[in-house]
Amino acid sequence: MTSSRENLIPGTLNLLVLKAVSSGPLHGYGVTKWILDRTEDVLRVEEGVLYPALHRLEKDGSLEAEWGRNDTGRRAKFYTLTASGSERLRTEVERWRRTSRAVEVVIATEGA
Amino acid sequence: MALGEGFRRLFRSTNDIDGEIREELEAHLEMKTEDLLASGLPREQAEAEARRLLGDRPWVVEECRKVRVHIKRGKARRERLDTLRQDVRYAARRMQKGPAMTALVITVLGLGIGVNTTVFSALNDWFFRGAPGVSEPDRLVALFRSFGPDERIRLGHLSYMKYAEEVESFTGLAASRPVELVLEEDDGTALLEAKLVSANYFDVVGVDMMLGRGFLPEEDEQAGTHPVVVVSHTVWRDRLGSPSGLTGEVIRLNGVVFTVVGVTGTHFRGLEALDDVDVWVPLAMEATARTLFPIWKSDRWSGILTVVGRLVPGVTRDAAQAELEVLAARIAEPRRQTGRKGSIVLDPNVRTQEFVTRIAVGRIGPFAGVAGLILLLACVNIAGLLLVQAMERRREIAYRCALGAGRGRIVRQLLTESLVLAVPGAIVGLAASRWLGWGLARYIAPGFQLPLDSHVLAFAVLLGVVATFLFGLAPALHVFGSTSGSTASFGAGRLFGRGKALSALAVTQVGLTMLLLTVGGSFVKQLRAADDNDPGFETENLLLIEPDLRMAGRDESEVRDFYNTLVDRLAAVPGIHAVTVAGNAPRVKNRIGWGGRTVRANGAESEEGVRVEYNDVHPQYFETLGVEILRGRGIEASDDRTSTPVAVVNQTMARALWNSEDPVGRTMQIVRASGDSDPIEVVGVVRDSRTFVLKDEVPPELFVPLEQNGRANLTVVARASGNLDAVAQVIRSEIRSLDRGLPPVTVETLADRVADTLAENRSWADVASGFGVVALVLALIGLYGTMAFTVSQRVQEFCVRIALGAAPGKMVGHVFRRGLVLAGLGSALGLLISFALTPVVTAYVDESLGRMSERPDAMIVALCFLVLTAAALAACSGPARVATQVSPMEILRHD
Repeated sequence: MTSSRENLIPGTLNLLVLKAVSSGPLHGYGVTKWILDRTEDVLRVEEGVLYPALHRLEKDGSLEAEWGRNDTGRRAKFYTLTASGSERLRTEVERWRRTSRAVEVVIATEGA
Repeated sequence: MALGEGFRRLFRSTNDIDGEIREELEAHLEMKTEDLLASGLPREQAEAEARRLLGDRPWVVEECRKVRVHIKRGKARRERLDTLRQDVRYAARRMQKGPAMTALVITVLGLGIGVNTTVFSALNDWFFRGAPGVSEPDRLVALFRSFGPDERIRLGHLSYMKYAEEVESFTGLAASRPVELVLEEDDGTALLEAKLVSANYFDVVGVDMMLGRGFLPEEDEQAGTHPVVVVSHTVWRDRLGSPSGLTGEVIRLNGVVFTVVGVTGTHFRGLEALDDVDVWVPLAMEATARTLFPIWKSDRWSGILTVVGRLVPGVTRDAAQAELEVLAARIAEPRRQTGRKGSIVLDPNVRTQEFVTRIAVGRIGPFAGVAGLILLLACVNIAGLLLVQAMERRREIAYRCALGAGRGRIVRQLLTESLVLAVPGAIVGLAASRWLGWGLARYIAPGFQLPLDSHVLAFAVLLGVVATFLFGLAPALHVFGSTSGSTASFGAGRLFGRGKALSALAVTQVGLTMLLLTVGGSFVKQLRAADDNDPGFETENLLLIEPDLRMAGRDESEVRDFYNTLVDRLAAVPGIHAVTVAGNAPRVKNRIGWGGRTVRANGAESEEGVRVEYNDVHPQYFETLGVEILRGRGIEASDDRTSTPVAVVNQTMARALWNSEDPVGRTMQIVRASGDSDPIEVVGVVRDSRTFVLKDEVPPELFVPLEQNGRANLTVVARASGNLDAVAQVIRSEIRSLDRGLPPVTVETLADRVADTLAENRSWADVASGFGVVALVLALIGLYGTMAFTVSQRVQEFCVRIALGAAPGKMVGHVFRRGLVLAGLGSALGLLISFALTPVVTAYVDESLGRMSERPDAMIVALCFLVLTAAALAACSGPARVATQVSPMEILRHD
């Protein structure tokens, strides 16, 4: 809720979701929490956008969904990374690296 | 019912989806709220914050729902595919169990689809495809004058020019006229297919030019001033040596040097369906073509000039039609006889126009009819076979129903089995149609092609699908009905109805087979008979030589000189024993003036005119052909313009005019509308010969000296020995040395010529007999299906009868009796129709074969009866065996 929280750069949502799920099965809320924890509350996933994204990834075959129970015993939908999902994660990471390197170069030039 | 259920399922599934999404979001909110509570917020605030963070909930639900619906559909599709795969696998296994039956069904279906696809390809090429190599062919229409419904007359050149000048609905009107031109090269000549065209032809038609340009307006303004030519891709490649650019290349056409200004693209072979045009020349160069009917800037000859227009974009055909009608009312020349002006009609089928349309209807029409019928019969027969199979499988199907398979599922499976048969059937059909296409090309025209395009493929697929339903649905519905009861038994009444229909069908098929076999057989027999007739002259080693003088621009005396010189020169060629010239040479196709004269004998008992065949011949005619002179003399060189008119007659004519008296020295006159001819003295009688026709009776024939009559296109006949090909080669070079501008000369042996004239009739006989054989196979299958069905239905009855003491042989007799009754009924029916149809078919036979009998041949009819009876017995033997093998135990197993 402070200004230090940034909204996501467009196009990185899938990357973050896949990365989050790559550590093990997570429900939707778990994904938001995972991202907030890892980025020390800097990157904040718009929750309303997260769910359609999860379903789309399921449709593409990157994720598999299954109903299960969380640690408090509540029924929740858990998402797991599939083989094609981890493949997709790899390419998304690569693309991100390329883009960010390029952006870095641009910034460096401007600064000089 | 199925539909309602489907809807319910659809709704239930959307409800499921929504519930799932809501539950997922609820879980999210609860967990978030709990975490917020844990961080110290009061419950109310925590819940509100959690909801706020989730954002616009209906939107989220909607977005998720869209994705979920997609997922669901994909799953359903995969499931359906799985079922299909299962069904196909099952069908394939069944097919493997009865490979003979499978092959039979596929072949029959392939034949049916093949014949239909061929017919469709032709129609497709003529009516539904634009001309290849033409841009936006849809905007082209052909123009005709018309004085009444169905009447279409081509335009004269003068009226064409008037319309072209004034009409506004078209970007232009183009005119063309087909002619032949002789291409002269250093080492020979070639006859080219040419079109005389208006200057705007290539623009209006929209031809892509590969090189150069079309014609300029000034090149078609003044007669004979601009010898320019556009050549086809083929001429550019074969005659010009494929130059990469045009730098004043020239070709000699009919003795005139033409400059090549353009080359058309590869695909353009002319606008009309059977065109294979080599060169295009401006209409203004018409005189070069030396045509008998000059049309340049006059309306004297209509019916020659083809006019097509390209509609201005956005103008409809109706609008153009309306404009032309107004124009016609103003500028059309009234018809001489009636004074009516008539109107202009537009025809969108620029590729076919009236000529090909007539061919299409006349030649393809009957094919299409028979083809459709064959496919229908094939389907019905296959349905019969599958029906019998379905009967055999009823228990299997009943079990599957009992085990919970839905009725729809089973029907679908049976349809899949049909489809599994239909797909290879369609492939076989497509291959067969390619093959038939080559045959048709020989039969219709050399330029005729059957291009395979998406339309044709779609048509074959469509036929396959339609066929699947036709022959797959009957057994499927049948099973559907039979499983509706609690037991797997059939209702007898319904089956009896179907059995009757099958019987009627079997009778029809036998009838059709009888019809095709008798007509085709009679045809073949008459052709054979024609071959066996004694020609009355020596047919071996005769060469027919036909120089084409039409385009050489000679007057009558020059023509006479040409033939006289040629005969003298050929007589000196080693290997040639005798040479002559005749207006009507043996079996020459274009018999101009053939048809006969009426003559009257002077001073005979009967002064009445007699119709005789007429032939003008050179001296040595009878000697060259080897026709025996029985009395008097033949035609001699001394019979010229200055001497008395003389004639030689054949035996039949001698008998017809003078009975038993000697005609030599008597005179006769040719009866003409303008008054009778001078008396002609008969100087000889020759033996009857079948010079022109192979028919049974020899007509009365009259021979007169060519020198005393004479005409332009004649045939030189030479009797030669040794290597005839080598002699023909020498003859060609002799003719070439006489005139280098003549088109290539036909030199053919009489045997080849006879084979040619017979070929077309043979192809008809082939088609009729081919269809006959196909029909026979179909009828066999039909009879088999009917009998098998009857037996399978009556197994129960047979069992009871046998149990009550009837001999199994009686059952067999019953089956055969029934089969023979069906075959007999069908044969009688077919015979009846063939009596009615034979006169129609004989009308197609070339007159040189003589008039065919208008009754089917008795021997052929007897033979067909035998073949059909044998076929019927063969078809019954399978089901009959089944009938003998039933045992009373069957009853127990059946119910």
